[in-house]
Amino acid sequence: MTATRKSTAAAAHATRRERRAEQRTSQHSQAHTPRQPWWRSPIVMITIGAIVVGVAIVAYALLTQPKTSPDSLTPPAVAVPAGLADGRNLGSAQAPVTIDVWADFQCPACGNLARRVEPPLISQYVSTGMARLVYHDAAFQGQKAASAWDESVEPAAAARCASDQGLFWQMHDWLFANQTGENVGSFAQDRLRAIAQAAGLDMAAYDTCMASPTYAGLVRKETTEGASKGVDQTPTLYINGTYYTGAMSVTSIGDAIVAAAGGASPAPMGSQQPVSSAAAGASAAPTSVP
Amino acid sequence: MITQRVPARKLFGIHPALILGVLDLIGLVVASYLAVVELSGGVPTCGIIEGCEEVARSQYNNFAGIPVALFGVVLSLLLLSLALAWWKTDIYGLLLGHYGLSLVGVMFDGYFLFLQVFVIKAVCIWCLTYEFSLLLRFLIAFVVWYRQPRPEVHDVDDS
Repeated sequence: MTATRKSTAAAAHATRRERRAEQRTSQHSQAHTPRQPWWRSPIVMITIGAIVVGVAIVAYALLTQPKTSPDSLTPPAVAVPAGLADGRNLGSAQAPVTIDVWADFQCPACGNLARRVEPPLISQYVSTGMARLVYHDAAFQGQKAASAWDESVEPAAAARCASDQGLFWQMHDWLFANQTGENVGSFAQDRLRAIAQAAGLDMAAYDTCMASPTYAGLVRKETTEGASKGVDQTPTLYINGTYYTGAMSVTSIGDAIVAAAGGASPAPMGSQQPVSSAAAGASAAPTSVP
Repeated sequence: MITQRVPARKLFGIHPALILGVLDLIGLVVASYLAVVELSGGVPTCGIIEGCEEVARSQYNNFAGIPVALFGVVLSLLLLSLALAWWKTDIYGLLLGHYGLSLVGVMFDGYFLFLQVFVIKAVCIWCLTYEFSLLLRFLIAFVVWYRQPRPEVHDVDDS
């Protein structure tokens, strides 16, 4: 019995000894195994990588958002001549030549036409009573984005709201001066409002007007009517009802106006100064209706 | 190391990938609804809580010309794929992938929430639901990682 107990104790002792030896070996092995630096742990590397990617995305979003405050907007280079505007018409109702302009406030070629070609034409032909500009909506660019806020229809509606306040051409010029691209937020709700404010609109009346779907509906209606008449790209001009196929330059359009007026020469330049040379042209390609 | 299979410690008695998967699915449904409404030219229905229209019509609803909701759909699909793959394989790296990707999403959602509250001054309840589900997914992925046994590091000197 005693011998058995002794042998059992010896076995237990041996086991303990073995365990200790194993533990020592294990500790020795752990101590001599090169430990991974904390920063090379997968969770740390993934966290750092995710933070870097997240910061890059947010930075990109911040940098690409158009500025919305009125201070950050670009004013038009030329002021609208006084006394010529009548709603969406500019010039005398008795002018022998009528230029119907079909445009989209988002279309870059329309922007070029409005900023570079129209001002000299207005000086030479509209201010002098030879021609009258009539603006029409061909607001289809926003359809490409299929967004709740159509960046072609809404600025066109805003321009009609401005027309109610006698400021259509001011709004027209401010809109074209502040294009930043198609469907990228140039005419998002808050920026459009800032443009209206900069153009001098009564903002309470503007807000009431824009809250109503009436003008957006009329813009869409006119866009559809234009398409049925053959307005298949923007800008499209009709000079005395004839589809204009020439270049979008002051010279070409001027020649077409003179021809439509029966060859009469335009009167001397009016008070408005052109923003660019008389040969200025719309360099951007016209935009086709999808 | 990250390609090793490590059996997942259960959370509430089930594989944690299933919890993440359910949350990913909720996020996917919400983002899909917003994306479909956005792409069809409408505005999401907010019910008695107002603000969805304001957010949907704001310029911040698009990122690089693409509706933000569409990015939410893609993110949720990726996260759901990672969760299901982890559930099926127990590969440690898939859990880390879920954690990292949800962290990227949480950062963007933080920025978008800031815009809603301080810039647009309107909050869309659908966006909030998505943001909350994403935050939950990130936190759960982190807790699961914390509780998870680490894969063994094999060193060539050990042999």
